[in-house]
Amino acid sequence: MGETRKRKMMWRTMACLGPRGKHLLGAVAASGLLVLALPDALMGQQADLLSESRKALYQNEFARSATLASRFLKTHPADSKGLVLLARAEMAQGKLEAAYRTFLRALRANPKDIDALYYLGRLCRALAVSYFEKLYTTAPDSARVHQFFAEADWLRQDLGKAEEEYKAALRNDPQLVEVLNALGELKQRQYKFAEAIDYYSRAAAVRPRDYDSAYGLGSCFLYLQQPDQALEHLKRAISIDPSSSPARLALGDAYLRMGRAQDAVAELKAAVGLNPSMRQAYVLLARSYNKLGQSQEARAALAKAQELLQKEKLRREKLLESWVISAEPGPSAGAKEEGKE
Amino acid sequence: MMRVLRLLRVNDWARRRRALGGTLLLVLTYQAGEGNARGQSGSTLPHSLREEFSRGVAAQKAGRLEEAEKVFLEVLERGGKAAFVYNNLGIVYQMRREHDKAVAQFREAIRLQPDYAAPRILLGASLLAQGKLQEATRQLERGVRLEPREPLARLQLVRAYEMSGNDRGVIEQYRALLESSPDNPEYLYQLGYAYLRFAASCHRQIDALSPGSARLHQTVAENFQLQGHLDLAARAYQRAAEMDPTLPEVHFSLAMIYLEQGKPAEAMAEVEKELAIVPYSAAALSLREKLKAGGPSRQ
Repeated sequence: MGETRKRKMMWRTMACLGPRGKHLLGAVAASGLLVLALPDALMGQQADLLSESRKALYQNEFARSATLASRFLKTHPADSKGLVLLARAEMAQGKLEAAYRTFLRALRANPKDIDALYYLGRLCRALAVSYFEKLYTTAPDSARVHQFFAEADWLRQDLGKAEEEYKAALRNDPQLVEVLNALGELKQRQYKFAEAIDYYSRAAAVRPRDYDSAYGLGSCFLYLQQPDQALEHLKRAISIDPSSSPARLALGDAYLRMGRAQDAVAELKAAVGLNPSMRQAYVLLARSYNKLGQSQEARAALAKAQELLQKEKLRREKLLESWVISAEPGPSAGAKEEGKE
Repeated sequence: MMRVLRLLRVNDWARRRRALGGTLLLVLTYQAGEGNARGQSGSTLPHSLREEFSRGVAAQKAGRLEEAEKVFLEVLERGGKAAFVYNNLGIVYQMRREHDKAVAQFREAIRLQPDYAAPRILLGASLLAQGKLQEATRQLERGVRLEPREPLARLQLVRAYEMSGNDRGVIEQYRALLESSPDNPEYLYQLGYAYLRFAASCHRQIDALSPGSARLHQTVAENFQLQGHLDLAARAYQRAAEMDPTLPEVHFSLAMIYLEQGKPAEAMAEVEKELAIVPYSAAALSLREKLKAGGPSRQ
């Protein structure tokens, strides 16, 4: 630390302490106790503590790492780097709950500490696994365990197994609305609308104010070209969640199919109001305006849809560019080699 | 366990949030009604009105809400202005989804008896239904402080926290619920998901603070690795290393992936890179020794 900065800090501290503080500092300085070189030594020691703690952590000496970080924190209790190190050492020792608290302290000290956020995320995943494991141990045949496995199977795109697990969950708890809805969605994806409607209806019977089953029923009836039936369920979905843009879009679609273009425009406008990047809504808006003979509005809506389509294409291309996996060596590695040549 | 690990990217938040809604409210409503019928709140009614009040509670429990409303209004008119009478009248309105009227009754009950938890919890539920999230949360937090052992109060507070995206609050409530019922499968499941949501929220915060950072790619890589998509994971780790060549653990993770893919030479190269960053890494040193000795091999 530079001499000027140290002096500035001292004067700032004295200003904070007020006249009595100045007097106190003056007395200390006069007695020769205030040695300006001391902070450098202290700060060096503190930095050593942190780097030693980090070293101990990588050397698998977790308890020592925690002790060193704690010593550092005695003088710097709100230092997020020190707190992150302590939490990591606690985590490595299996003290997950303590580590969780320490990470929260680190984020209170510095909400923008990327390392704190990163390791806290990792810890939370570990904690989640520990509770799921406990769930599996204590209630291996419970509805929630089957639901959990079904969701994992769905994630792996193994829909057959997912269905089996969901059905096992329902055997244990026939009124589990989330599972009824999931089965409805699964059947809907397979274009088995009659079965989907059955599951959604069962969910709606258990919980009349459930959004998912209301929306699911509405969209199934739309697929089946029965907009009159869809209307009732979509209106219910919107009454449950007025901020749902997909429900507004579907309701607009239903109105359009029924020939009620003016009503369709109102719903579709509400949909794009909630989600301005909803391309499909602009397409349907253009059709609705055309039916109403408002060609200028129709052209504007179509132009917006085209603009959004271009944006989507660009986004998709970017995503593909960054994640495409080829059988050849990784594109980035290849690019580096070319650069070297 | 792999099946569990593969689920870690699930972020089925909206669906779960909606699912907590109505049923709990109904259960809480009934329970509060029964409590009040027993005069749990501490206030008492004049003897002449007790029978009539009980008649109202019976009508309420049987779902004859018009009758119950009429009886409770009569009790109030005849001088039975006790907190629990207002509370029960509020419950009737809440069951009819007339939340404005319900809120007025619950507020009066609280005014008469500030330490009475039931109307606070029910007021919170009605305010939630009205979309008044902040006040609902405040009332429910006070309700939980008054009745910390009442699971339904905590579950309502969970609902409020979920609606406001307060993951830490949700975690705290489920942890408290698990303290009293350590093996409850529902709480275990919900707490597990709450932690997953919080993990996802940390990831989003990193993305917002430092878009495209090494830590972000590292997190993506770990998720791919957990799901068994090793090629994708390796690519994401490589990007993390490109973004920050001095970041520890990235090359070590890459080494582990190459090892799993049966590529010991590539694994060794990554271990060396890791040791260039963290020369004292026990894990990297140990892996280097094993690789030199011709193992470990992964099937």
